[in-house]
Amino acid sequence: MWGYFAGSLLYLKLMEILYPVQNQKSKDSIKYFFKKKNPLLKDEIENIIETFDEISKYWLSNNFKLRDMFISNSMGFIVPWLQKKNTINLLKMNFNDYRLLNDPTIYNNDNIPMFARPQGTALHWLAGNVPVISLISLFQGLITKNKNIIKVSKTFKNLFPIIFSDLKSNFKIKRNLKKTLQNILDSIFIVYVKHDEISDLEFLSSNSDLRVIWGGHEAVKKISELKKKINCKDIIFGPKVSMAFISKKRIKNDKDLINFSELFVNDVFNFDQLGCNSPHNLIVEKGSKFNLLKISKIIAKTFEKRKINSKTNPVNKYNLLVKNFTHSLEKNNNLISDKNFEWNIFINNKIKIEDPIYNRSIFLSSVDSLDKLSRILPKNTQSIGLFVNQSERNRIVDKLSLKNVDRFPKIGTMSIYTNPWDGYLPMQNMIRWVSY
Amino acid sequence: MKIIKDKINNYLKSNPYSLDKLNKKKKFLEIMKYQIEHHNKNCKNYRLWYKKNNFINPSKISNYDEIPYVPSAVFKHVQLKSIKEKSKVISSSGSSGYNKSFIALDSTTSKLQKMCLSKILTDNLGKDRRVFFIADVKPLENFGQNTMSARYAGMSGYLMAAKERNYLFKLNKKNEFVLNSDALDKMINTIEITPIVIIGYTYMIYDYILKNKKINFKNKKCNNKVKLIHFGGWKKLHNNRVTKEEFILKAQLKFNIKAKNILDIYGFSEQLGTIYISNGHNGCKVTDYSNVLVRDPKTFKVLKDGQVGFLQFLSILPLSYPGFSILNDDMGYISKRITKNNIETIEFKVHSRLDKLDSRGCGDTLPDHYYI
Repeated sequence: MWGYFAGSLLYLKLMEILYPVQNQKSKDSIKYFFKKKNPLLKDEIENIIETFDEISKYWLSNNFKLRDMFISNSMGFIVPWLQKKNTINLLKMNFNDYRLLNDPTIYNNDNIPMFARPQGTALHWLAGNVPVISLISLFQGLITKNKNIIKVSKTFKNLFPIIFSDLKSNFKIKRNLKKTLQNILDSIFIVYVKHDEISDLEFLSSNSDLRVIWGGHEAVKKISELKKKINCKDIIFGPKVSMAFISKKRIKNDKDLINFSELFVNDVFNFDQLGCNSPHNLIVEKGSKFNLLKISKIIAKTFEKRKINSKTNPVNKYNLLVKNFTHSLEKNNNLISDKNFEWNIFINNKIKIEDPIYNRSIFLSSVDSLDKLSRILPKNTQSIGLFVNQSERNRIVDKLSLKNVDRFPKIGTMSIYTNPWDGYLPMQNMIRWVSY
Repeated sequence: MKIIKDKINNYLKSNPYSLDKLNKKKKFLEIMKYQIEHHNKNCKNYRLWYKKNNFINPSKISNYDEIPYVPSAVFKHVQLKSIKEKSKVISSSGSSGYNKSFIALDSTTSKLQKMCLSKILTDNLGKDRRVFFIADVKPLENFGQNTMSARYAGMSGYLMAAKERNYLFKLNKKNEFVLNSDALDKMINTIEITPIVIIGYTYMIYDYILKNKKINFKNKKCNNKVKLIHFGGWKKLHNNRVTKEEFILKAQLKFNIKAKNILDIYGFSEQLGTIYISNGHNGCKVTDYSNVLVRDPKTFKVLKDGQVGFLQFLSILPLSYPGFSILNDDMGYISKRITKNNIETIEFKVHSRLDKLDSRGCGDTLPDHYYI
């Protein structure tokens, strides 16, 4: 009966199915999920957009009982992301005419009929840091009408099943969108598999048509090496780091510095610096009117005012103690921090791009020139948040984008998940083109 | 240096669990103050760190919790030496295996460590040396002049208390780890009548002895004074979901030994010599030569007994490196604190070792050489 599947029947021994039915004993449901038709195939894209918009409204409403859980897991960003205005923008960015996600539409300028079909079953391989990106990954899979399996991390094992079970039982939607909502919920399957259950992981991998892999070096490498269909597509969001840059001309007075600090605090404090788009280094171009100590003191004042809700992570705290020790050995290095290391500004007397230490910690150093910065940039730099004059922006982007940097957001907007991401327009990679 | 060395030597003359609480505090803190001054004077990196953090003037210290602590992982990143002359270096990979700790040991500290260890072992095993059966192969003397592995260093300390060493395993021609049947037969034949000691790393005892069906004592009753000593951490066993309770149960079934005679020794490379022995299901007992504080991971303040936090270990011993006050990457709690006849007994339990963080989402921003 299961000859359709890659892999043997010995698979699925320890896979935990968390959604649609939690603790389901039978593992046949995932096999059925792989096998069944894409539920969203016949839904108009406009209906999917509308349904997302309604979900967004529901999650914002007083009827939504999981609001605290959303807040404590920094998932609020998904609410505006799902709004009609945003999804249409994103779709337009990915496709000139997003109606091609419905059945045949004339698409390109040469009048060649082209339309998009979903890849099939998308397997979202999620990591354990920022849950909102997991939801964004999933909703991009849904809007492109794929079936979606979410392989959750241990940290958020219970979070996603609760969210979708709530949508299933408590969310009342307009009659005309009921069917689409049902199809959306039927296009989601959530599992947890331990990282060492290779046979189960291989089962998931080898039966998927699209793998969206979020993770660190080790995880990405391990997943990439799993068996997969020969034509399976991979979208990899691998290990990346981000930083911020201030040009010497941009800060002319205290007001500019305060303005910068108030924007920058959002970048540092959002998602507890766990996102690959969170800055860990702040580089100031030499020649600025203010020295590093003055800059750090102003930033410290802003950091001090910000309330911290997140739980203490002992690993981060311990590592901060170690960093404090090693950092203090360098002459003229300084540290301005909260008394309990809840936020930290390490001032380096020499230019150095430091590895992330988390817990709202920033390494501040100055650089002679853009050329110097481009020479020392880590190869996996994702975003450089810019606090520069408009006239300088193009030159900086032009130069540093050649060093594999994917994003140059304005300071204060670094934590916003936008398209493109890590160099991808993800939705484009979640469909296949059909011409006739 | 001479003053502090003499102070430590004198302090070590008392038995490990004999000082009354106030007397211990007074003498112990005096040594701690000397320790801080000694390392501030002789270890540049320690001095830089101490000054930059504006830590307390040692003369003003009046409580254990005022003593600044060095995170143990620092020894993986910085060479901390408080001596000028050449020293032996213990390189320990710890549990993570990412980086090795470098601990500079001179003959003075080494002697103090041996003296301390000997006092603690004597108190637990008695004055008479015993026949040891070691769950390992005989070590090869192939370590460099100045470097010895922590495994060898750890083991050799305990073997001081042995009058005879029998290695329960050997390497065959293919370099495979195999049972040494001569040593095993000898152990089986003597376990009823002689108060032998069976000793080894926790995971080796478990994997190679407790799980080994070939080792069978055929219902022989174990001598009342036989001790099973194991050390070296639980990480490997915990990864295989083996608990301490299960270990003890399996050991009892295998050797017919009482739980109280199963000694789990907690110690670490940064403070060799000051070990903490747990008998059976009890916590690790703190000797007079050291002290343990539990610190809140959020505020670093000392927690109430029973609450889980970072373990800070104070040891009177290290002079060649600033390891007298260490914040370990183990989380634990004080499991018992009683005062009887003015003598305070403190026991602690290790809850868990900090692990690397989960893999990071849109990219593991965690560097390979993350501190833990």
